[in-house]
Amino acid sequence: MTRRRRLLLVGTTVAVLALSGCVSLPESGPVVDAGGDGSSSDEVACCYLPNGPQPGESATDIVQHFLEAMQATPIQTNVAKQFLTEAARASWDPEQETIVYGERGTVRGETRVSVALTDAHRLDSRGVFAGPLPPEESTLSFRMTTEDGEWRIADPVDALVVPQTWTDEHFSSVNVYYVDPTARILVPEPVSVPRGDQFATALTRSLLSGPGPGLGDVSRNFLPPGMSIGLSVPVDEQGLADVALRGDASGMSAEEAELAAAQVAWTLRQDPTIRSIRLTADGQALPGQSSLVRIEQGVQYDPADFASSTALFALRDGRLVSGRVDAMSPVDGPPGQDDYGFTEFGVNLDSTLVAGLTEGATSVLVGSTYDPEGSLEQVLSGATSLLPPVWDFADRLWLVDRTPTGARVTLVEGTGKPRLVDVPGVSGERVRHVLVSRDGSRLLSVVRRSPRVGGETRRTRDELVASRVQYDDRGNLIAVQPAQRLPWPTGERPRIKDIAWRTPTSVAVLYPVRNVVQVRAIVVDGSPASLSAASSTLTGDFRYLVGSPDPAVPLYAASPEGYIELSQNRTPESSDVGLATLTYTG
Amino acid sequence: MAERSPRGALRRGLTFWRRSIQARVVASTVLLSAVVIAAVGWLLLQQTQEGLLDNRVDAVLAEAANETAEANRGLTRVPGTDVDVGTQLNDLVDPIKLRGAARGFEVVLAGPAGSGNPLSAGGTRSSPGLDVSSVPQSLQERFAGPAGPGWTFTRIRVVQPDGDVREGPGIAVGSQIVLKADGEIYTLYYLFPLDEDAETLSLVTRALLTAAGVLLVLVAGLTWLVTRQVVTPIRLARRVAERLAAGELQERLRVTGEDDLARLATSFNQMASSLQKQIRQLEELSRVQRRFVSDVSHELRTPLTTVRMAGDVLHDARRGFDPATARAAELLQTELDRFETLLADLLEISRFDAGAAQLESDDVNLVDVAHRVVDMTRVLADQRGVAVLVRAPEHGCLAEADVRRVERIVRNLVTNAIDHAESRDVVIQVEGDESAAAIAVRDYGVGLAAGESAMVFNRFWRADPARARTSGGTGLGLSIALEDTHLHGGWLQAWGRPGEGAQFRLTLPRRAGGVLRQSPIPLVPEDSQELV
Repeated sequence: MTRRRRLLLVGTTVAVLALSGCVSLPESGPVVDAGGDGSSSDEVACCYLPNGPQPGESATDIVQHFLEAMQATPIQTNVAKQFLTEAARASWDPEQETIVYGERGTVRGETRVSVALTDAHRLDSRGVFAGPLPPEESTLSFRMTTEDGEWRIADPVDALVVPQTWTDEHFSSVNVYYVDPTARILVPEPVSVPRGDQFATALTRSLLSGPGPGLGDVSRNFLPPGMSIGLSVPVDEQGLADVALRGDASGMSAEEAELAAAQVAWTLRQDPTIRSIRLTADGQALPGQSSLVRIEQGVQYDPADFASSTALFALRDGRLVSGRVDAMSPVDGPPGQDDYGFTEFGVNLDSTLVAGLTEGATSVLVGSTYDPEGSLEQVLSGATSLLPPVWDFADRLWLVDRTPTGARVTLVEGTGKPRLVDVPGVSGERVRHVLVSRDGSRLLSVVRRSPRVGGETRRTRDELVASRVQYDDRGNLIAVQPAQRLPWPTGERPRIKDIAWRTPTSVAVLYPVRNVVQVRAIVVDGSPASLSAASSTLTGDFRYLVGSPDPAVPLYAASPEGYIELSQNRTPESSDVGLATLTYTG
Repeated sequence: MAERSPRGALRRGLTFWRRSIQARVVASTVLLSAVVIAAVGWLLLQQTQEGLLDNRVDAVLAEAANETAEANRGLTRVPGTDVDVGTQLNDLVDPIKLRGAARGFEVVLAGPAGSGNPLSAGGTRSSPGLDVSSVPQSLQERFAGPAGPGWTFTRIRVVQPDGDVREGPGIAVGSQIVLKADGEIYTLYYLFPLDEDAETLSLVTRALLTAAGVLLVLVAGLTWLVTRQVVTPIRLARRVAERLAAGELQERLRVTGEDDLARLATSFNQMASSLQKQIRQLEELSRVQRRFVSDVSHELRTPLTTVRMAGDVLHDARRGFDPATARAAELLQTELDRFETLLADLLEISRFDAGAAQLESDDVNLVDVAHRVVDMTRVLADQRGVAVLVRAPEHGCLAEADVRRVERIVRNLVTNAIDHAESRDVVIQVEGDESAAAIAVRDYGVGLAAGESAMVFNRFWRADPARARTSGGTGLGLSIALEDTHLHGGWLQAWGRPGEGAQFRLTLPRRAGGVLRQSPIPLVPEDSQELV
């Protein structure tokens, strides 16, 4: 081979290499490790991962372990599923509801295993309190069959069955927010949902499922029906929650979208990890809205009414005064200037109007608090014994007259005529106290009952009852739903001295226990989750609570001699105002 | 016609290749440059490809990790009571599919791991139109059980909504997630096409190829120009040298500048001048010598004629002299004969030198010539006891030649052979064909030493200076024979070996002015030991 030929060969080889080796990109190759640890999720491997069924377990063991497996944390049902038959595994739907029990009886039986639950109640799929479990359902019964020689449950109840102590630890009592029928204020609905990573998802799912069929005229959901959130609501490290709704939102008006965004913001701001929200429907922002929703958004729809005054009001020498508890001055309006003989009064939310009870709480005068030239008008007279008047956000004045035949509830809307309202469970009862939520959707009453058992009158006791109020879309009252008794957390039901709003969905209750008084918060849906709520014990003749649903303002307890701020719990301070009349707006 | 055929063109091309340094230098430079450019280009492309792929792989892995992290984040937030596997899988993969469609990657969700089903068996959720066989088997095998994320190169095949099939290289990344609804491990495969990178690479390749082509043309042009600067003066020098060789001694190179080529030209010119001068001197010297010999010969003729006449008188009257004087008269006559012969030879040589020799050509049969010469030299042969034999073919061996000169050549050769035969036979061989005729004279005498066969034709040359000139030769016979042969355009060659004798061969062309290609008789005789 000559030198020239060698050169030619080398040249050709290089050229071929150049043309073939470089111009194409590889289409195969070895599998390369990409680093990372693959299937691990962000979940913290903490808490409790129960064991699956062990070989040779008896039927009762299986049921017992099944009930324990449902207490896995973070909440998951994969282990619990292993206790079910193949068919039951496919059909079991623990998402339907949650059964929360106080205590569990002995597990008995073989082919049919039963277990009795005490103090059990239900949370529906939205996390809304669905009432206590009726006695006939309080015993759970499981049909057992054998599969591959092992006992398995064939008909599990479609619910997550967990003890109260467990829900206290792993569930949060929070609110989802809907809107009142006139679309002016948010209406909170208490729910109990798992906290932790699933919190935002559970809240959003609950919100999307709406206020429930019975609350159609009480509150409205501005998130269109049929919307869903897909897998979950992920929250990134910066606290951005991605609410990617699935469903067509193009039919929404800008106002509706604004309300929907406010609902989402108010609902999700309860998750402390969330700083902002990306709200989209089918990948698009809601009409007229930015896809990025601040969690402060919709403050004007605050259920505690953002425009309401945080000032305190009281009567001093028959005149209306306002200000801080230790520095009060007369209002500019006529009630501040003259003594109109008010015994009790109520100031509307923006503190422009006052309704005062006169003539031994038989008539009501309404007048301006700020206009010195204004006059007071009598809106009601000839009553028997009125409870302090209550205002809601729409300046509707609620008056309850305790007649010998029981309470009569009267509603005064604006300058219209007083309208007698039938409140089942309250009208005609011995009503001691009444509160109306600022959104106007709830009427809370303390009803005194003297049950007669076999012709013998038992010790009287007070019941806290809640009624939902229905309006049409112009704010006209349609009806008030029958009052629901809010179960008292502890066994013996005490006499209630006073109640006051603590949050938009809870009230503080002042009641005596032997020689002291206690203040306890009760959630307005009646769920026993409030058991965990702290109660404070006070020594002294405290008779009154002064509170507001705005959590930012202090809660006071007052006696005829002095008052204390409950969160500080110092020695009572005296005041020159009539402490019995001390009140916030509403 | 033959010159126009491809073969002819090839031959012309090869001739051009052999003769043109410029073509060879340009071709070699272009070839070497092509090799270098190809190597550098290959290296560049390799680097570009590696860089592109590295970047792309990094970006792809980051994006895949991001998607998986997002999926995991989503799964973490799923309520634990959500047990609908199908819905959860759809909810998981649908947003990834959407993002994939927007960002240009495909996704396959397969599982649960450990089921042992290949992707092609179905049960996967994937981007619309994606052929799930785009996920390489090796990657599927990796994720048959729990495994960390991995990636490999693949070929992605997607059927577009309009029915077109998009196929191309890509990167397949796989990573696993644990589904909340059933606690099983599922695998997410992300398929990222490398279309953009392929385009970039082909752009770079095209640019490099274009640049390489342009560069090669430039290199060829530059080399052509540079070699031309060197080759042109060399060609000029060649032409001048050819003319000098042709006798145009006054030709000179034109000298421009002071570079190496200019100095070469100067030296060349100096060499040419020096040669010209010496050749002139030699020519002059030769002319003077010839003139001298010619003049001496002519001048000697007149006194010789007188001496000859006186000698003839003495010779004729020798019978009246005493024996010693008569012997002297005979000796005088003999030496006078030799003197005349010598003078005639010298004159003949002078005629050759002066270029005055004339040829009277006719068809001559060399066989006849051989026989005639044998007859002429019979007396001398007999005196020496040498038998001269003729080996000739039946047919005649004709050549167009001057019979007188051919006879003289042959006679010279035979006389010379008899002189050196040392009483052994002398053989004359005649042969002829259509293009040439030859006559060879072979003797078996002392022979010729190495190198002597070229010198035998020199004037007055003798192998052994001590040896007497017994046959009365003048020492010019072979020289004249050679001149005569050259006059015919023939060959006269000698072969000899010490102790084996010698052979002289005369070859004449069949036609006057014809060109000899070969001789009918080999120069080395068949009976010599050289052939054994």
